Amino acid sequence: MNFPLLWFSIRRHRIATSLLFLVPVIVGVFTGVFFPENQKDREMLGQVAKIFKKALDEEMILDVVTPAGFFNVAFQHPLTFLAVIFAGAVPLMALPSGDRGRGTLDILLATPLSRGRLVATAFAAGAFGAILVAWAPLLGVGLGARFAGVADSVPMDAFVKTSVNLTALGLWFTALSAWVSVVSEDGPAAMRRLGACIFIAFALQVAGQLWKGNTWIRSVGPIGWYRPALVTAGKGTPLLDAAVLFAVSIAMLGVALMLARRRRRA
Amino acid sequence: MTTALSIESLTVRHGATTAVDDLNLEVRVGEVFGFLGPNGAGKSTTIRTLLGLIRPDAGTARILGVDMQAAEPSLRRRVGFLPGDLALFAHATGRETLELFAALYGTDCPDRDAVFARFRFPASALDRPVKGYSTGMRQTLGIALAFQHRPEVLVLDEPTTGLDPLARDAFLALVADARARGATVFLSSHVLDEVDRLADRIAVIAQGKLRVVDTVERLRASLPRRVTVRRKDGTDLVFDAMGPVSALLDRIRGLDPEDVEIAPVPLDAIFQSVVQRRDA
Repeated sequence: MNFPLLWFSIRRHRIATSLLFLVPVIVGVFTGVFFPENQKDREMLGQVAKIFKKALDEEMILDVVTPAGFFNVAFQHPLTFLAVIFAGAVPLMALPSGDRGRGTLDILLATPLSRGRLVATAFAAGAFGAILVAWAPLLGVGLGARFAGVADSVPMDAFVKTSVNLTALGLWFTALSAWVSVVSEDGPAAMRRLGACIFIAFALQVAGQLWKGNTWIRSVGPIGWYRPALVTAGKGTPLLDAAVLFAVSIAMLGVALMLARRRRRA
Repeated sequence: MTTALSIESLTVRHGATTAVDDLNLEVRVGEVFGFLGPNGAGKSTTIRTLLGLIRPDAGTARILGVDMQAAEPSLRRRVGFLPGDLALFAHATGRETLELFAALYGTDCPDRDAVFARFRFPASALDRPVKGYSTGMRQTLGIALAFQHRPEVLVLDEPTTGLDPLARDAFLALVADARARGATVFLSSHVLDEVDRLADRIAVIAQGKLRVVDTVERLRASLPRRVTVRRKDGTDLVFDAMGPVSALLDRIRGLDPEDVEIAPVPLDAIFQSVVQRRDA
């Protein structure tokens, strides 16, 4: 890893990372704003949740009328997923693939910086963003719960474990971005490939949820190893799930480094 | 070591196209070497291969005896590079860019201020984002990145693109300084006049193949001089002449001259002659 380049990359994407950090925070705060405070609202929400319980696997749905269930939404919201994924991906879409397309990669690799160190540094910049944004929902939920006046009823210990799990999920997508970036000729090509991979990951998750009795499909994709509802319900294994995601991330990063070294053209 | 750059049987293919075809070249330490060729001749591919940015299909390219593909990357500290299609980080300021590269090279930058002084580059501009720079300012920054760590070998691809005549003169002086301190300069350029002023030897490459390597003087001697004789009757006679000067003077004397102009063969004539002769 090269620290001057790491610092340069973090600074380069500081605005994008800051905006992405705000997304889960806002989702968490809004969860607090919309928390149903009276019994009538809760009963109505409970009826809506039952409809989804029939369609989806029951283990995925908590009792949403409780603070634990309601605030869990901030960790499962699509915007939270996308913010964590892109916080890791943005630096890697710029380096190496984006800079390869622009021509800036040549002058970087004409310095004493090896291809492997360059990719490792870009991964570190992405990991910094992914880790930062993965802990943003916890901040948002803390603020939202305080706003709703249910701070004491929110299981923060379970949400901390969920954040660890979300961090590992973010690192998984960051490692995938590194791989995609290494094999792509420019930034737009890398974005197209990453978009396809994200779509497949979400499709596997949805298919696993809708196709009853085939929950294993979820385990094929990364999102199946992130189960915040189970963690909040005290049934999940967040640290084991995080370890699986982390191990696969390391393997993918290893492949990306190997491919970077073997590339014919910088 | 007397060889700064050596290229042996280098072949690079881009798909079905052979960009560089069995190229052999040697550049001596302390030499300013002009590397010429028409567009698409394979100059930039050769340079990128030299720097280890492209893996060749066959042959080797070494700088200071080291194959940059296989070498420890720290050896690149001894090389300064200016690419032909220079692209910089648009969002970063000039100063941030210089500091990043100084950190990547891991060396002091003793020549940075001297470069900017020569180009009369305003110091305040260094604190502005590069995206606001003119083409000439960007090129000057690129030149500073190549020269600032005082490398032993400078590989410069179209270095004066976008520079005004004053900045071009500053660049020529900078290369002369580098030569004076013993640096080797590998200079690829379309501006033949500046190659003529700087280069000890030149190589011409076309369609990936080396056409000629020699000193400018020897190449000049191989082509006819353009002679214009103004005769006493007021008529002008223009002819090309080769061979010994004494024979030429005898011939002019017989033409009843009032005035004579013998123009040196310009480098672009040499260049055209070499490229067209082999094409024919």
